[in-house]
Amino acid sequence: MAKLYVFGIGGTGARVIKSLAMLLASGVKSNFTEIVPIIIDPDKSGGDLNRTINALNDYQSIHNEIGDFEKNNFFKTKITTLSEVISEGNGNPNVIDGFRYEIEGVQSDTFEDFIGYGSLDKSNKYLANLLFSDENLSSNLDVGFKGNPNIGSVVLNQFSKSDAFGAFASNFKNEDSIFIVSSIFGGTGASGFPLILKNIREGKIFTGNEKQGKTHQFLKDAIIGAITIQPYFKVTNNKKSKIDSQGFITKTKAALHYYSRNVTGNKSLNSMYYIGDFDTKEYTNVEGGRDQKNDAHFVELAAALSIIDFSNSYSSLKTVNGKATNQITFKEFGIDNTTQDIQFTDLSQSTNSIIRSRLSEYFYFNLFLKVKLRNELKHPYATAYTSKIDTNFIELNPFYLTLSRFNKEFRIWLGELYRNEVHFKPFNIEVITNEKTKEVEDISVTDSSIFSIVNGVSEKKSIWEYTPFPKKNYELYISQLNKAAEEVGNSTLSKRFMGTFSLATKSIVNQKLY
Amino acid sequence: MNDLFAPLFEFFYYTVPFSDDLYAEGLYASLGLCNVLISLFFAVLFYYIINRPAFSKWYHWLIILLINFGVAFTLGIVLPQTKFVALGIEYHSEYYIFGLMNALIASSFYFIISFMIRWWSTNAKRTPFPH
Amino acid sequence: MKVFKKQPILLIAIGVLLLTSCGDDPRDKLDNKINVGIRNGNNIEEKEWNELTKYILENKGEFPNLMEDEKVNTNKLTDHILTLSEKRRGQPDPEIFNPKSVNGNPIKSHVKVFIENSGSMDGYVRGIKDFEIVIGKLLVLSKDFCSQNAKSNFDVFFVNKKVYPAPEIKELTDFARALEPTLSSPYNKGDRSESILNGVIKSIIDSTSENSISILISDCIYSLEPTKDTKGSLGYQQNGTMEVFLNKFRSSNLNFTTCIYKMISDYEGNYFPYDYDPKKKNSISLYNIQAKRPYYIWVIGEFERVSDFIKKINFNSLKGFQNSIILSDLTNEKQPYYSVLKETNKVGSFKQTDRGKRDVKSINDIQFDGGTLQFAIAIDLGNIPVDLSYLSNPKNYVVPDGFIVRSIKKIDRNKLSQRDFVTVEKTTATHFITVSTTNKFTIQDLKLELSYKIPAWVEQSNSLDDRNIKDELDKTFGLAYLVQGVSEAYATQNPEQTSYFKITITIKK
Repeated sequence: MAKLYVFGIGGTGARVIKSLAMLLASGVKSNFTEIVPIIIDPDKSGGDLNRTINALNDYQSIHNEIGDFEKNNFFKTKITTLSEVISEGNGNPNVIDGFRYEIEGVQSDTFEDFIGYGSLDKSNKYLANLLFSDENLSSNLDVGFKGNPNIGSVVLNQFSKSDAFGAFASNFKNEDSIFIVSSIFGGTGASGFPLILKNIREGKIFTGNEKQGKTHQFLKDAIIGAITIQPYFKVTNNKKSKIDSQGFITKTKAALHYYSRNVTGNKSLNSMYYIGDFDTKEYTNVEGGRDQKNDAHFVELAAALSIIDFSNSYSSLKTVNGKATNQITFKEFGIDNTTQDIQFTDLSQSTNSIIRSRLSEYFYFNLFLKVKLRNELKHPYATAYTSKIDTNFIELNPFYLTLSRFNKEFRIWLGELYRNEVHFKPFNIEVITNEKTKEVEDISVTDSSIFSIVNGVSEKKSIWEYTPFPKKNYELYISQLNKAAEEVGNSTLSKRFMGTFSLATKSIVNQKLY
Repeated sequence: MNDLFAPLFEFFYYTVPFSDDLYAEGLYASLGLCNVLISLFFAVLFYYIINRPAFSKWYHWLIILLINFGVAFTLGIVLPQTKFVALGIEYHSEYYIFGLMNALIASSFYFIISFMIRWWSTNAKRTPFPH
Repeated sequence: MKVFKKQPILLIAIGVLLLTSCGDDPRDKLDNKINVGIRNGNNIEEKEWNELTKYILENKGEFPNLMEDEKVNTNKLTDHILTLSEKRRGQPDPEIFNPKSVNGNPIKSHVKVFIENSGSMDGYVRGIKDFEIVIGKLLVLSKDFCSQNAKSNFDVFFVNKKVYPAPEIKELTDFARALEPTLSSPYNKGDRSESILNGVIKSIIDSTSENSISILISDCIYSLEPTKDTKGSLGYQQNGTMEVFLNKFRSSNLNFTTCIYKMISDYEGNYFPYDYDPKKKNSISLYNIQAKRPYYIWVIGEFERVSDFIKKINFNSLKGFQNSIILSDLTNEKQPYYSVLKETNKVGSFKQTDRGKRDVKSINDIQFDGGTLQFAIAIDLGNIPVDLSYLSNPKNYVVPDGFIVRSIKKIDRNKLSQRDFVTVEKTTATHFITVSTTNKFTIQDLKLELSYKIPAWVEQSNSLDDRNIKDELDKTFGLAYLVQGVSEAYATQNPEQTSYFKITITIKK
């Protein structure tokens, strides 16, 4: 069971991992049966981080119940926490908290405290003053590095000395791989990526105060891919915030320069992915904390696709003694039509072949559960089997409740993608926003002709359209559910439920769309 | 076949000489067979040909039953009447009572056949009663 | 949830189809045969025709509409075949074999009329009497009956002591006026002083042959030797009559029928009682009292010919007809058509045992109402050679203990229930007999017979002492002995013949 360890660094990393979870939930395949997301972000209460972690927890819970059911296509890939990997390897799982690696020493200190400025001698103090501004030195670290990679690089360097990293290294197997997601313009990501990469490639683990470390050869020779995300948004001008998007471009250039020598240039990476966009969208300039809840962006979805692409192509990559031997691959994401309103028809054929059917299937699955399931429980797919789908199931079953929660997140994710700029509008939906917070609360579909809601794609007509009273919309859907239920047969309730919907949505998407 | 169906019909309605005439003209055989075939047709219609989620509630099944009832009622009157009038025999209320009984019998067939064949209907297998 | 697959539906379908078995209604079978014959060459050949008629005869109960007089009616069968063939589309009519009429005798009957003209008959011809009118009509009808190609096989005779041909009578136009008991009348032939009845009868019978019918018109009074023992004497005469007939039976193997018709005519003349002595001049005057006296017409001959003849002449419609008796060998007579009626005159209830049969000859599941079970049987009495009065008299019928014959009535739309009438209309039934029983616990099958016996009217028309003839004007001296004599001859010939027909209705609880 080859694992893919995905390091998501900073806010962008967390959001990309969330998009990845959504894609995996909809049934997008990766060649790795198990993915281990590790989010590195000192911003503990970051809004995006929490959303991502909640979604990942729900995904896990759902997968554990039904993931091995062969008739079901959703939530197929296993998502594991590093703690669980460590437990399996009989280590101490407490070195990491679930999906999140907590960077030590940032809870309440300022940067000054972190570097022990107070205890430096005068000449070191002057050096420090050269490298860091007064503002830098006095910043609170528990909200990230506020777009200052110079601070970040110092603080994150301790990762390689952490127990978590030690445990990670010990459990890393020959067949496993690594992928690193970071933004190039931000604070945490820009600095974290090359650091982690360096630590991995050195393969030496220093625990405690050892001078020598243990070498983990598998880790050193691991196949590693990464995506570095170019600027795709700006922040509003806010005098209170230290983050200034005008500096994004400058910092990007600096980082790229560094990478060309120390990332790709020295062959420490096997596969490099790029993605970026015009920075049209302006986000509210908030310095992290609970409020840093950026809407999901299409670029994040596309970035998640790089992970999929990596998983499908990594077998041709090779590392020997910490250096990539085969050709390093460089890939950039593109779409077919330049537009601010992206539909499936604007995506390339290869992108569509990965996500179009899957997202549509999950979308219809989600839609039915939201608007119809409660009132359509008397049909055979629900009642004609020993495990019945009934109001009990909907209201009390923990599996379903978790699934509903996840599904709401999915809908919010779609709504945010829709409302963000560039707009990702594969489906004709309406976004429901909260009056006060202006956050996306949910989406709705008003068109009763449910197969016309894929933008740019018209409903496929079959010969059945010419019979008198052809089955349409939800009736067709339910009839496919009934049929799928027969195929799925008897099983545990949650498995039967997922299998039925998986087969049925596949069938209707195939029959009515593509 | 007349002898097969005669006891069934006469259990519901027996009066001389009407019932003997029905027997003599082989109407028990024709109507019995018609009932079975038509009820079978309607059951198959509901469960396999129509077979739709939007038309699978118990009262949809009942609608078909009532149509079947109506057809059988009409047949139960028209078939004997045409035969008897051609022979010069006159009856009055017997036709209607018999038509009613014929319809009841057809409905029973429909009911029984429904329960026999509904298992393989994708969308209507729990009609009229979930199992 | 059961796991058996989709196939049980097929089983149902097959089962339903299997239920469709062919009916075995004989009428359908006949139609099948006809259709096969038509399809094969668009004709019905002699061989096919014979097959059809054979099948119909074997099941003639099912085909009353194709039968006539116990034979298949050619025209009716031909019509039926044509009707069936018209149901095919666009095909011309088939050629149907037409058997030459083999029915009936090709040779026309020879009719001989014998008129007794002894003295006792004078009263019937004096002036214009009904007798003359009736006989005149009879002669005309008989002549017509025998005509074939302008030739007539018809002869008239007077008979008293001997038989005297009277050809001029055949040509008489005014029969009634011409016949008078006068010397100049053609009526005056032979020795009219006396006639011996048995001798007369013998002459008549002797003259009857295979092809001829003899008709005797006489007052049928035995003349006795002077004696005190009239009964003994009459008995002696009776034996004589019996002998005459028995001799004929022995000498010929004909199925010999004897019909005797009692007629009434006005009478003006003297009556000679049994103890008449010309010296005593004890004849009784029957002048001027508007007396009406019986006379008898006998028709004797071969069964088929006589049947034809009496159908044509229709004696019942002749003026003065009163009663008849017909004697013949009925052993070849088939059982008449009969069927129990389902509603008419019903008391209690019953079911037809085998509903597959068209005719109800067996009933079961009987229920009594107020202790009584009653039902009516439709029956074809058209060919029973008896008087209507004989048929209608319940006393002439024999039923098992516990049963009573209530009535015998002619079939009439108003007397039957509407449904029953529709049924019998299509059959040859002429009457319906109502029978009842109160035998709840020992119910048995109903065996109904019409006894073959001398009708009551014979005894009622019989006189044992004709000296009081004025009080017994409508009676004939010794008639019962005369008829008995003939009847006994027949009984000797056919001792088992005790009934005109026997029918059985099986009755089960």
